[in-house]
Amino acid sequence: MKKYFVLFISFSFAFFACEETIVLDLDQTEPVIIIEGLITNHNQKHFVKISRSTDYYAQQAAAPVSGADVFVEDGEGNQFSFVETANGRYESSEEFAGAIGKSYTLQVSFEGKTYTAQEKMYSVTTVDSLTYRYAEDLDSTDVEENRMLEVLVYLNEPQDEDNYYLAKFYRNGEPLNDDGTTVYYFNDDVLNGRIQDFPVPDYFAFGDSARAELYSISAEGFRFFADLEKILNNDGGLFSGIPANASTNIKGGAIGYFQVSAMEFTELVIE
Amino acid sequence: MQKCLCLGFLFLFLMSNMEAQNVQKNFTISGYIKDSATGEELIYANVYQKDLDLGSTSNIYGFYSLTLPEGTYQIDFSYLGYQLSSKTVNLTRDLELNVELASDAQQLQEVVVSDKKEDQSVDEVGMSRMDIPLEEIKKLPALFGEPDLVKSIQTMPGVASAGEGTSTFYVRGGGADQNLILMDEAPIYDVSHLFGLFSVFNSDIIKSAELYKGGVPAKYGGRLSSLLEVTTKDGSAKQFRASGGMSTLLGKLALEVPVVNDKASLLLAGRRSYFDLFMALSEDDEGDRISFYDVNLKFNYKPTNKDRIFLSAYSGRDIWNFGDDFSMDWGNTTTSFRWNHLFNDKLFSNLTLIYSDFDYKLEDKTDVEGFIWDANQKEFSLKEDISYFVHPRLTLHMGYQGIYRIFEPGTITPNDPSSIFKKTTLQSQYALDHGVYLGTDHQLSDRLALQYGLRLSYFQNIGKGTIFEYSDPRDNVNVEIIDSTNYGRFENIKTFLNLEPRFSARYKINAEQSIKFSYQRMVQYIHLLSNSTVPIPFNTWAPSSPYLNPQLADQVSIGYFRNFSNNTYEFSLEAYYKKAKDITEFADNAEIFFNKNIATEYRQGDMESYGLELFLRKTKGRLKGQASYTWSKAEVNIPTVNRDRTFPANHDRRHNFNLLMTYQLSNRWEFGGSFNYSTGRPITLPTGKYEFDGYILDYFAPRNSYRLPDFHRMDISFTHNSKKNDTRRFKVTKVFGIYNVYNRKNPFTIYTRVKQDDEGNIIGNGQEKEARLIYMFGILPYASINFSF
Repeated sequence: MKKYFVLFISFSFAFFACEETIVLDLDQTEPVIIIEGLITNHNQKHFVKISRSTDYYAQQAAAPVSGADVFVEDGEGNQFSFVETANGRYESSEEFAGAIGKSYTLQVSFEGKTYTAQEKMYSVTTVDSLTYRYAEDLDSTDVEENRMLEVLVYLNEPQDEDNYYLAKFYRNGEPLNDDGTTVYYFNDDVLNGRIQDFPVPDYFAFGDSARAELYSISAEGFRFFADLEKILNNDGGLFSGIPANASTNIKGGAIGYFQVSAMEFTELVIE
Repeated sequence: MQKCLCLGFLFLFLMSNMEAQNVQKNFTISGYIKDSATGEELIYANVYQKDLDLGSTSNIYGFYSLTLPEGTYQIDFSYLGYQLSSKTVNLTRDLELNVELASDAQQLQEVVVSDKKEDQSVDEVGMSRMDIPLEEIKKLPALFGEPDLVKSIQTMPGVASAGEGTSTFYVRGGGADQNLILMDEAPIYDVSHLFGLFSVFNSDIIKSAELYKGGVPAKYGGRLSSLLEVTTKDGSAKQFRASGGMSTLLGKLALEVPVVNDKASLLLAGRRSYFDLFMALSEDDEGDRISFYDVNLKFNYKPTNKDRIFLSAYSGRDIWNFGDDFSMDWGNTTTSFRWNHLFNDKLFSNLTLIYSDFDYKLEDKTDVEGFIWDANQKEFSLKEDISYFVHPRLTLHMGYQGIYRIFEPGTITPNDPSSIFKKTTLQSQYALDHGVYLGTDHQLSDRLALQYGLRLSYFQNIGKGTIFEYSDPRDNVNVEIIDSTNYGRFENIKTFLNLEPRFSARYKINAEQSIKFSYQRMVQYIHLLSNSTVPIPFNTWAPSSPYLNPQLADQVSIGYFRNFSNNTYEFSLEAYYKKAKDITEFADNAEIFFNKNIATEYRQGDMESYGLELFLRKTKGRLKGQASYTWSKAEVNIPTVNRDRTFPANHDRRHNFNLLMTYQLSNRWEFGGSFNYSTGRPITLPTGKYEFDGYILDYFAPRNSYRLPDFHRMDISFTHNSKKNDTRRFKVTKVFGIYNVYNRKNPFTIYTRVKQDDEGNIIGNGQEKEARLIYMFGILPYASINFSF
């Protein structure tokens, strides 16, 4: 829907409206704690990031929080401790793989406060393959950069259950998300299960590598990423909904999300 | 409370019966009041007998009825903008008298038309009712030179606009969905063309338009805040007429065809934008086209002196194409059939059959993502209204309206074999909506007049349908359905019953001053599914249901009305207080599009609004115009939304000032000017930001805790008319104007983004953000030309 909605809005504005940058006179607010964590079914070191929000006009968008106590439990007595590897970034001290069907609990403590989150790992379908072809509808910058190929995704989505997904796409390791304005989250309410020739956002050149990742998420995760998308694309609440802060699965007063996902990916080097 | 009201009614009825018995022999004079040139019925024209100080007004079909004791009288018929007509009648039996009034349009403006009830604003019982001066509107500056009814309504006291260039209006702190907008009695669900630049009303064919902000008669119900009643012209039954015109963005034509002289006429009118033609000429044309049209058709026929039949239809559509890939369109279609019948000179009946439909369609024409999404809502309605003119001081109105409503919130259909989508339909919803009412216009004495009534509304949310039971109906995240119940066709799912008392009183201090009071309870059973400030065409409606209560509002208003200088100036001061419960809102970040569990996104709460409205209108002389000032406040509290904190309503505006004026410069030139000022719209802004997975996100302050900068704008226009007193029928009017004379950059909205250069490339470290102010129209000259013959 977003795509069409944005089209409607941008078209509405495009003809008569002008815009300019203004400086808002904003009140100072207390920073909030943001916790971001991801546990997948891959045997690897997993991470948790902790930061504080910054003022709207600050140089940096995050003020890292150091010295926190971080661990994850799998509900079967296994506890994985996390250590700070960079300012505000915590990694599990050992590699482990999350298991589908299990619930994981995150606990973060610092400055006398404790934040927790619980999330279950759901199964995900495989990304069968990626192919490429010459694209139509290129604009001049694509041609200038010699990026004239589109990469297509193939997968089958199981229709016998309600599933929620988050997808991520990369070109040469760089995330493709419309300069940080699009979150690729979806459910299977209106899908027929057969996804083929589905174009990855943006275009590619020969020699580029493409990667598509598909994450299972919970209904709560689906809502969180939907909220992010709404925040990134609101027009001040005129035609889009009135802006509001994102939901969270973190308890204790922080925002952010503790994501536990089964993840499948496919890569393609265009030669 | 309700018991007291019933007793009150009984008392008043008894009183009126007693009065009736005291009068000796009465006869009734009745008939239609019409325009002498076109045969068009005149709405709310005055009928007045000076010696007895008794009068009446024609209803919206131009019918009047006045009962007087036996005798010979001079009776004055008058209407604003028309010459007074005095008839002498010898009343020894019931009389039928149809009266034709001559428009003073050909006369010089200085000629005073009549000497009578120009004091309507002081005299009428109703308050909070605005007549929209349609003829004046045409001389006032207009966006792109197209006079627009809704834009004019937005300049009335107590009315706020959603933003420049929108057709959304808010009345006394009520939401955009709380206005009942009727065109020839058929409801219009989306009044905007081109996202609101124009409304669906073709100003050339509107006969009258009235906005009720309060004191709504018992006859009407269904929305909380206002009633906008628009009546289109019937078309001349005397001679063929045509009118048309071109303005910056659209062309229009209206034809009036007498089918049977003085008995039947046909009106056919159309408008079409030609914006898309310019787009095709653009150098970088990629096939993007936006356009709209609307068509009005009205047929009216008088088979006998006691019967009149009207058939009116409207259809309008916006069509937007984005290259070959994507298109969307939406529109309203309405049809109403009305049969006026006079059982006798005191009993007027109006039977109406109404059909109204709003639909929209989105189509993605690419293969893999190809789909068609359509949604619509329809209503079929039957209405019978009876007016009984008991005697000159008492008129009874009673009636019934039944509406069958169908809501089809959406179907997605893949339109290509390779599409990733499957056909998916959201469950349709159905409702039966009934209202019965009894209302009275009751003049207790020369000074005190009342309008009181009671409306009983009964709403049935009916099958066919499945109602899910949620473990927590407010949990819109982990939606858990624990049970479901299937209902058969027309089986009651949930019913609601409400009594809606209405009361208005006018106390006349003297011929020039009156005090008025009104109380109304309004109930709204259907809800607009929109969580934005300006509803968009893809917002559908839903009926009250197990998860959605009817919205209910009580409003009291008091007012002081005064006319000065022989009714040259009309002044009014009104204060209102409105309290509403179960106002429909949505959870923060609600998913309102294609959500099968949208019931879990509903949130309802309280709204409180109050305000003061000052209004001054000058109706005579070379200089005419109006000025209004409104001070108002509207606050909303919706549990779980905005963390349960009260917030200013989207349409909360502290100050609102509007000035409209026209000045007759010469016989042929007229000047029009307007100025408006309004406090900025409340807006939700970020006070902080944070990073998540590489995305830079806003952290918002509480809802609506900031405001856009103030809005103000001045427009001017010059109208050049054909010669006055010219006997030629062909007339041409040219209008030249400037919109936003001093080029104010009026804020429309503010959005945020990561800091970018002019080409849209991110600059800096990608974490710095900036705010962008969108403003709509800079200085904008326009011209339009209109003709008629």
